[in-house]
Amino acid sequence: MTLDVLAAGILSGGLYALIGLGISLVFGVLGLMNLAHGELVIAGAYLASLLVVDSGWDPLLALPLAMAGVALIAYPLQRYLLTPLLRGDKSAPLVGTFGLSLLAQALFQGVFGTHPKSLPASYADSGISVLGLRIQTIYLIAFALTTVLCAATHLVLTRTRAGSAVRAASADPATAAVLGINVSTVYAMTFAGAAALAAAGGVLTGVAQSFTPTSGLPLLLTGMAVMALAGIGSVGGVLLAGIALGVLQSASVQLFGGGMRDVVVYLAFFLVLAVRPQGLFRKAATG
Amino acid sequence: MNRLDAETTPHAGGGDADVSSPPGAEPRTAASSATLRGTSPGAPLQVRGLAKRFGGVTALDGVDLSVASGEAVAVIGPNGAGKSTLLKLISGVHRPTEGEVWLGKQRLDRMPVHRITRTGVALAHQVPRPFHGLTVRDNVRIGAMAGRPHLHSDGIDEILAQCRLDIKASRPADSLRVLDLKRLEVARALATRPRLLMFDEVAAGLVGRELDEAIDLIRQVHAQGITVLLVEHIERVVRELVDRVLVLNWGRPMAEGAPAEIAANEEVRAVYLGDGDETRTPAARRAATPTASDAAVVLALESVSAGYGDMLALRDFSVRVQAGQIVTVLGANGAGKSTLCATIMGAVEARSGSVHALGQDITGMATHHRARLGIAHCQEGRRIFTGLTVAENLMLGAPLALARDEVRGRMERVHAIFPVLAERADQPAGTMSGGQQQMLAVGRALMADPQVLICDEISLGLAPVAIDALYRALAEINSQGVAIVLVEQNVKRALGIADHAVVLSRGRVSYSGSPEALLSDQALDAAYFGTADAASAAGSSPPPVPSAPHPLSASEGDLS
Ligand SMILES: Nc1ncnc2c1ncn2[C@@H]1O[C@H](COP(=O)(O)OP(=O)(O)OP(=O)(O)O)[C@@H](O)[C@H]1O
Ligand SMILES: [Mg+2]
Repeated sequence: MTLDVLAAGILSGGLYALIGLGISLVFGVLGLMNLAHGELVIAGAYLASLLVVDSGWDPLLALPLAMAGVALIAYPLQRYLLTPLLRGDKSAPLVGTFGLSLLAQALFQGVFGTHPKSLPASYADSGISVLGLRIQTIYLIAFALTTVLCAATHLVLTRTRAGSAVRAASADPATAAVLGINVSTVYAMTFAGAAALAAAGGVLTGVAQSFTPTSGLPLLLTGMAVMALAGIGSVGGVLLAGIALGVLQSASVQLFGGGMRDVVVYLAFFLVLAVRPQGLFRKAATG
Repeated sequence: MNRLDAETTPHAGGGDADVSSPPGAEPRTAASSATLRGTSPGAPLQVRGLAKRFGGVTALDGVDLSVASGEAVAVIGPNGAGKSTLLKLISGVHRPTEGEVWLGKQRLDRMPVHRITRTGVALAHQVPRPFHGLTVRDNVRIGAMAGRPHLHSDGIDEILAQCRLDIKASRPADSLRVLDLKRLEVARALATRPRLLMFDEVAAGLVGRELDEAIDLIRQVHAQGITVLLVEHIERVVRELVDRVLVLNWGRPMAEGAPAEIAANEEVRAVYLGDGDETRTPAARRAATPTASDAAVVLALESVSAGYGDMLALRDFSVRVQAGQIVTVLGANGAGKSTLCATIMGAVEARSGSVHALGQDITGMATHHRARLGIAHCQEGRRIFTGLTVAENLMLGAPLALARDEVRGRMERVHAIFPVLAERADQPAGTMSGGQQQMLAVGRALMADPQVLICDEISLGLAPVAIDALYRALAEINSQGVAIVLVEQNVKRALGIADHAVVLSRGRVSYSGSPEALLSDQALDAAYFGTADAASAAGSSPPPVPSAPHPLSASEGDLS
C-alpha cells in the first residue's frame, strides 16, 4: 500500500466518522436506530445548495446555516413524533424513522428533482501537496472539521452539566426525571445535535461528490458500519472507526478495483458484529 | 457493568451436603450435622497479608484471617473499610495486589475465576448483578449448572423456596426489587454447592420476620457444615450467627474477637458503632413543629390509590405534611411504602385521589416538573449513575440552570455531611463501596435543596456512625423548614426523629398517629402485622414475629 492510498483513506475516513457520530449518538442516548440519518445528511447538502448554487455562497459559509436548519427540523420530529413512539412498541420508532426516510426522499425529489447536484467550490477538485503526497483539498478540510466537531461533541458530553444530563438520561431515564431532568427535551436536543452533525457531513459530501435524493442510503450504511466498529459510548472510538473504514476502503480499491469498495465496508461490518459485538474501540469499563 | 464474574458463571464443587436441610436445628458448631452426612462439606480458609490497591486508593492492606472448616466469622467496619473488597479478593472478582488466599490446600489467588468457584467458593454480592433477560429460575439454574453432581431441578426448587423466591421463579430477574435481588444472589450462590459461602450484607433492609428468616437461612447453611464469612451492618445478625468478628478500618485489621468483646471495644465504638443511642431516644425530638394552619401544608394526599397491572399496592391513602414536619412511613417490605413515594413523585400514576404539593395540584404533573417544584426523592436502591463520576452525580441533583457558585455551595454542604464524596469526586460512582454509593444517593437528593424531601430507606447499608451523621443532617435540614417523608426499616431511628408516624400494611394504613405510641413492641407489631398477640420474646428493635399464615415477604409481590 502506498502512502498516497493511506493518506486518502485516512482523510476520507474523517467524513465517515462524522456521519457515524450522529447515528451513534442517537443510538447511544435514545436507544433508537435512526434509519433516516442518511436523509438528514442529504438534507444538509440540499439546504446548503439553496445558498451555494442559487445565491453563490461559499459552501463553508453555508455549512453552519445548514447545520442549524436541519437541527431545527429535527427537533420537533423527535419531540412530537419519535419520542411518543419510543414509549410504545419496540419496533414503532424504527418503522417511524424508516417512514421518515421515504418521506424525505419523496420531498427531495419533488422540490429539487432527481438530477444529481453538487456544491461548487474552488477547493472541490483542487489538490495540494503535503510532504510530497497529493491530497484533495476538500478531504483535508473535511478531516479537520470532523476532528473539531468530534472534539466539541466529546467536550460537551463529558465536561458540561448538560452533557452529564444527556448521559444520565441515557443510563436511567426514570431516575433522571426524578432529578428534574426533562428527558423528552434531552432526547430532542440530542437528536437535533446529531442532525446538525449529519448536515455538516452532508455539506462536505456535497462538495466532494454529487448527490441525488436517494444518496442517503449508502451513507446510512457507512455510518452504521462505523458505529458497529466503534461500539456505543465513545466519541474517540467513532473517529478511529471512521478512519479505519476509510483506510480499509481505499486499500481495497487499490487492490481489487472500485467495484469492491462497498463490499469491503459491509464485510467489515459483519465481521466486527460477529467477532466483537461491543465494537472494536469500546473500553470494557463503560456502561 | 455486566461483567461476568465468578458468581455469575459458577461451577459447583465441594461436599455433598443437602443444601436444603429442614429448618429448626440451630447448632452453632457445624461438626455434628456435617459428620452426620459423612464427609465434611466445609473447607478452612486462610488469608495472608492480603492487600488491594485501586489506582491511588488502598482498599485493603495487610489483612490476615483464618476461618476453620465449618466456622462462621463476621467482618465489620465503617463504609469503605474494605469488607466487600476482601470478599471479592477471596472469590476472585478482584486480584490481590499482595498476599495469598488458601482454601484448604488449594491456593485461590492465582486460579482462574471459574476454577475458584468450582473449588467451592461462592459470594452473594452486596450490589446484586443478576443475568438480565433471564428468569429468576434460570439465574439459579446457571448457578447450579456445573455443580458436581448437578443440582437437579428439585434442588433448585428447594433453594428457591428457601430464599422465598418460589412464587417469583418465572419472572424476569430484571423485574425484581432490591430485596428479592438480594435473595436471588443468595439462591444463586447456594446453587453452586459451595464449601465456603460469603454473604455481603444480604440482610440489609430486612425487618421483623424477614430478618428472622434471613438469619435462619444463614444458620441452616452453617449447620450443614459450610464455612461462612459474613459482612453485615445489622448488629443482631452478627451477634446471633457468629462467634468471632474481624473489624476492618481503612483497609486494615483493627480488632478481632467475640461479638460481645467487639461491642465493648472503645476504639471500635469510636470509628464504627458510634453513640447512636443518644440520637435514637425519642425524647431528642423537640416539639419544634408549630401546630400550624392549613397554609403550611406542603404535601397532601387525599385517598390516593396506586398499583401495577391489576394489583393495588396502595389503597385509599391520605396524609398531610406541614413545612418543617417529619412524617415517617413504616411497614414490612411489600407494604406499599415505595409505591407511595413513587406516587408522590409521579413515577407511578395515582389511580384515584389527589396529590397536592406546595400549593398546587400535582396529581397529573410530569415527574420532572414535580422535581423542579421542590420535591426531591432519594429512591430505594440508590439509583446512582454508575458510569458517571461522583461529582457528576451530585451535580445532576441540582437544577441545570442553577449558577455554578450556588452548585458549589450546595456541594460543600453535602461534602460536610459525607466527606468521602469530596475525596472521591472523580471516581466512577459504580466503583464506590455499597455504603458510599448510598451516601452519594442521599447527597444527590440534598443537592436539589428541596422543600419536600422523600427518603426511601436511606440508611440501608450504612455503618452506624454514618447513620448518625445522616440523621444529624436530616434533623438540621428539617430545622430549616424542610418537610421530610421518611420511609425506614430502622424503626427506632425513624420514630425518634418523626413528628408523625404512619404504618402501612398490605397497602392500607394500619396506624396513623404519634410516634411515641408505636414505641412498644406490641403496638408496633400490631400495626405491622395486624396481630396483637406477640408480646413475647425478642425485645430488640425490630418487632417480634407473630406466626401469621402467610409470610409477609411473599405477600402481594415485591412492592415495598
Ligand atoms: N474498582 C474500584 N476502583 C476504585 N476504588 C475502589 C474500587 N472498588 C472499591 N474501591 C474503594 O475501596 C474502598 C473499599 O471498598 P469496599 O467496597 O471494600 O468497602 P466496604 O467495606 O465493603 O464498605 P460498605 O460497608 O460501604 O459496603 C472504598 O473506598 C472504595 O471506594
Ligand atoms: Mg461493601
